[in-house]
Order: sequence, then structure tokens, then C-alpha cells
Amino acid sequence: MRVDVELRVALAIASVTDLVKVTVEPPSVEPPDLFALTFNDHRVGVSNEQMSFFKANLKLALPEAATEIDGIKEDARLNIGEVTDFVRAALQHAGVDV
Amino acid sequence: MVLLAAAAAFAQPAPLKITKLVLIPDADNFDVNFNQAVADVAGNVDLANLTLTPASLAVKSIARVGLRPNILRVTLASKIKPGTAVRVVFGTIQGPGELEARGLAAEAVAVTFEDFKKAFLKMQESFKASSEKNIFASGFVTTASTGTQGGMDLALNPNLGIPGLTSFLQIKKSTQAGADPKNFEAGARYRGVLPTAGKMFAEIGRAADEAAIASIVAAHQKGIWQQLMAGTLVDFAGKLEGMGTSFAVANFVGESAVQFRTRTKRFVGRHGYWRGYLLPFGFEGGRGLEENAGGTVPRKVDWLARYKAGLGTTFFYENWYSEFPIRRVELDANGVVRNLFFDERRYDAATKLTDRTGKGVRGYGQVDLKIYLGQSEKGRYGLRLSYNRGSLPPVYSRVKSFQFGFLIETSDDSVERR
Repeated sequence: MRVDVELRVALAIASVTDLVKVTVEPPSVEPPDLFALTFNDHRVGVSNEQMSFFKANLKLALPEAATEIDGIKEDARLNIGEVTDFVRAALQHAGVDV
Repeated sequence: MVLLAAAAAFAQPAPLKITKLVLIPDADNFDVNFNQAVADVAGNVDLANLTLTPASLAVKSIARVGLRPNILRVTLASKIKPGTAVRVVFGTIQGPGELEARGLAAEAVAVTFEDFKKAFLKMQESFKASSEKNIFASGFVTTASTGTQGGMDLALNPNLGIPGLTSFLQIKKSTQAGADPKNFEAGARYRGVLPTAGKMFAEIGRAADEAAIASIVAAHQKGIWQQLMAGTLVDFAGKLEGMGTSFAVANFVGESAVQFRTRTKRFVGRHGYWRGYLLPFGFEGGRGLEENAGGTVPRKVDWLARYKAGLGTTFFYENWYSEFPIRRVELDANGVVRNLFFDERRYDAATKLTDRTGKGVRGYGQVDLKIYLGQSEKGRYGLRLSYNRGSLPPVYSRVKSFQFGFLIETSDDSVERR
């Protein structure tokens, strides 16, 4: 089974900010262009300190990629889509189909 | 008429185009990223709509990605080998509304995971430190009791590349007596992270499918604590404290602290938010690095022990479509109190000498307000106001100042422009 990385990333972001809302089934996210934004965008509202919690939650949801997630900088200026692509690559490298 | 034509041109959506191909190493699929959402229509995901080279790559399916509406994910019958140059050409792609584009093409070369990771790490290290970003803000005009002079407020947090471990450097310095905290701190910090939603994400990590994830999420989103708090940070740090521009007084200090951090919560409708933290317990202990300094009774070892507590909050508002001249406001308010268990060295502004504090409580508060009035392609500009009061180690120079400055900073977060 393929792992839906986008869903887990969106849930991990929503765990630190009320500005992001995720519906699991059917999958949808508010704001709809979440993956084109940066973490510190005013429609996402994540701070550098909250990046620590985002990473910790994402590592628990995707334990196969935990080591590589550790390497993501706690810098809220990162683009969410680029972080997601990196996590997808890390999972695939760990042998998990994405 | 000219104005109407200009308004019509302004209202037209940008043409649809491919921004990049993302080839995940060792995967049997790749992503085509568009500059805006692609329509949920059969024509966009029709295999006959895509011409892919090399021809040896057989396409199994094309699908929109549920949470990323600007992506088409192309699944292949086999994995793409590193070094393969992939080119895609779409017959017709429909975007939002009536938007349509023909013959959109893009290409990329598949790389190994090591090269993919290297490119990502290089990208994230390319961001400027916040002190560089706010380089114009860091030189401010300050007004204390008399006169107006300059100052510096610098914070750097270089990444050491070790999970949980970061280094830091902070200088708070002003040339104006009464506005100079004479505070320098540099060291390394290990941070433990305890997310409030950790149990939920551990269950998601074991979930079999999306239906199970939906049940887990529904079961865990009821508690008030979960709704309010993002989690707890536990810090352990070793640092050098100095006076900012000299080490006439210098301490080596070990520190541990616990912080509770809130989630980001909505404030003033959809344009604003707030978040905050509470530091109920922290301990700083160490010693002065200079022997027999200050005081009427010289001592061999100048031991330090302090209890620390603090809190802070951030309010943010942004609306670049507002008719009001103020488009973006950031308010940061932070306070910290320290209870000194031993007397320490202190800077006396009157005598310009160091003597000694008594034991007891020392506080420091800072309120920063940034008001942005406009922005361009180069950055945002506005005003910065700051109020500081109290005293900070290592010399507890008393500060009571109001600072005012013009602010120009690069807009390297995603922004809406008018």
C-alpha cells in the first residue's frame, strides 16, 4: 500500500496551528494551496519553535523517515511542498512506496 | 477606457504553466507541478494526453493529488533509473475556470537519493539568518532619559547538524546609557520536544489505511489541552555570558528550562492569529570567569544560581487588500524574571564600574511592534517600535528605553502583493 505523505504532513501542520484544517476522508485541506505556501505564511502561522513539534509529530507518523526528518531545519520559511517532496524521497529510499 | 482595460488585464488569471518536474529517486512515479490548480476533469488524466520520453517508460496512470491540486502524479510501470532524462508534453491541460493550455512541456533528470538530499539541504541552508533579513531593523534609534543614539539587537542560531542540538548567539547592546542591557550570550542548546499530539501521531504511524487515520484523528481532537497546546520544550544549555562588547564580566552558565507552547490560534477573523508560551521553571547555575572581581569581600569562586520564569505572546495581522494604510502588524511581548540565590556582579551606570547586586528578583520585559505600510518585489517596509525595561545578566545594567526605527526586510516568506 502506498503511504499518503501529503495527508500526514498536513495533519502534522494542523497539530500546531488552527489555521490549517484537514479532512481525512475525502481528503481536503484548508487553505487549499497549503503545499505551495511556506510554514510561516500568514495563512499557516507556524513559528520556528512550532517546527519542532511539527517534526516530532511527523517522525511518529512516518517512523521509517525519522532520521531524514531530523535533518529538516526548524526554519518556518521553508516551503511546505519542498519539505513534503523531501520526506517522500526519504520514505521511498527507506523502502516504503510513496 | 484605458483604466477599464488595465483593470481587465489585472483581473485576468496568470497563464497555466508547468513549474517543475519532481522525480522522487527510486520511485515508480513523478510529479508534474503546475503554477495553479488543474481541473478535476477526465481529459487532464487521460493517458493519451501525455507524451513521455524516453518511450521505454510506460505510463500506468495519471492522477490529481487530493491535497495538492496543482500536481498531476504520473505512475509508471517501472522505476526511473538515476541519470534518465525525462521529458513530458501534455496535449491540453485545463486549469481553474476557463483556463486552458496546450503543449505544456517540461523536463528533468532523475538523480540518486543522495543528490536529492544534498540539493534539499543546500536549499534550506541558503536562507538568510533573521539578523541579516532584519539588517536595517537591527540598527535602531533609541530614546532613554536623554539623547538619542543607536543600538543593536542580534540573534543567530546556526544549525549544528545534530538532532536536537543547536548553537546560539545573542547580543543586546546600545550606546545610550539607560537603554543598554549589556547582554551577550553564546553557547549550545539541546532541546527535547514533547508534542501534545504525540500519542495520536504514534497511532497514525501504525494505521493500516486512511479510514483508520480518520478514526484516530476524530478520537483525539476532543481535549481542551490538545486544542490549546502544541507541546512542551525541555532545554539544556551551556553558555557564556558577557557584556556585549567586552568580557570585563563574564560567566559560564548551565541552564535548563521547561516551556509550554500554544498552537497558533485565530485572532480578528481570518486575517490574524496569536500564539504564546509559558516558561514556569528554569534554572541557571555556574560561575564567574574572573577571580576576585568586585565587591568589598573578594571571593575565590563567584558562584551563580538563579531561578528563571517567563512568558511571551505574538499577535499577527496581515491583510494586503485592506483599504487601511496599515497592512501588516506584528506584536511580540516577552518577559522574564530571575531570582538570584547569590549576589552577582552588577554594572553601575553612574560610576561606570561593576559592583555587586543583592539577592532577589530581577526582571526584564520587551515589547516589539512592527507596523508594515507597504511592500515591493524587494521587500516590506514600515516602522518598528520597541519598549524595554528591567535588567539582564551578566551585569544587570538597568534599562528603561523606547526605541523607534524604520524597517525594511526581505519578504522571503510567501506573501500576497497588491
